Amino acid sequence: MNYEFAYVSGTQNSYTFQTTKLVVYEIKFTHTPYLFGEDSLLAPYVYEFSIIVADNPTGLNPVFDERTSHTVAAIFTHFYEQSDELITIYICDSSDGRQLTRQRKFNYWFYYFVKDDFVKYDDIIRDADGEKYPVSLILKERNPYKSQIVSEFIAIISGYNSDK
Amino acid sequence: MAELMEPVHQQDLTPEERKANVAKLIARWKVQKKQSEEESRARVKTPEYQKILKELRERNAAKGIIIPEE
Repeated sequence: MNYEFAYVSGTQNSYTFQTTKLVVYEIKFTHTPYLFGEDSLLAPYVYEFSIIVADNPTGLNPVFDERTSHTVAAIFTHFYEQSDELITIYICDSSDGRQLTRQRKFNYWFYYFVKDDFVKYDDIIRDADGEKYPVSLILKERNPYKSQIVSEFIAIISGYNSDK
Repeated sequence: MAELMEPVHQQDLTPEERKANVAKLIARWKVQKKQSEEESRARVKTPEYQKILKELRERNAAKGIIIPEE
C-alpha cells in the first residue's frame, strides 16, 4: 500500500508525500529538451526524473522502505497517464562518489516496483573530466517510436563518450 | 507527435552538435539539481505546503497509515 501523494507544482511537475518517519519527499519531472536536441520533435516529451528529500527531521539517512517505493512507482505511473509518448531520463548523482550504488538501488526499485508496461535502458555518460554519470532512459513499452528513441539514445551516448 | 515522420530528427546534426547536446544536458542538470533541492527545502516550510501535508496526513489516516504530527 502506498502513501497518499499530492501534485504540488506545474512548472516542474512536482509531487509530494510524507512518510511515517516524517520525511517529506518531492518527486519531480523537469522538462529537459537537450538530450535529443532542442529542435528535435521529441524534445517536448523528455523529462528528467528526480527524488528530493524536502524535509527530514530525523537527521538520519532516510530509509527508502517498501511503502515509499510503492509511492514513487504510483507517482511515476500517474505522471505517464498524460501520454504514452513521454520519455524520462534519470541521472545518478555522482557528487559524493556513490553514483553506482544509486544506480543499483534505482534498478532494484524499477524492476521490483514499476509496472511491466515500462522499459528502461541504461548507459553511462563520461564527461570531459572523466566523471561517470549512470543514466537511464525510461519509456512506455507501447511508445510507438520506442525502437527509434532507444537507438538514438545509444548513438548519442556512445558518440559523446567516444573520445573520452 | 502523431505526424512524426522522422521521430528523432538527428540526421542533420553533426557529431559535434550531438556531443554539445549531451554536454548541455549534464551542465544544466548539475545546476538545476542544487537549485531544485534548495527550492524544495524552502517551500516545504510554507503554510500552503504544510496545509497540503496536513491533508495528506488525513487521507493517509483514512486508510490506516498514521503519520504523527511534528
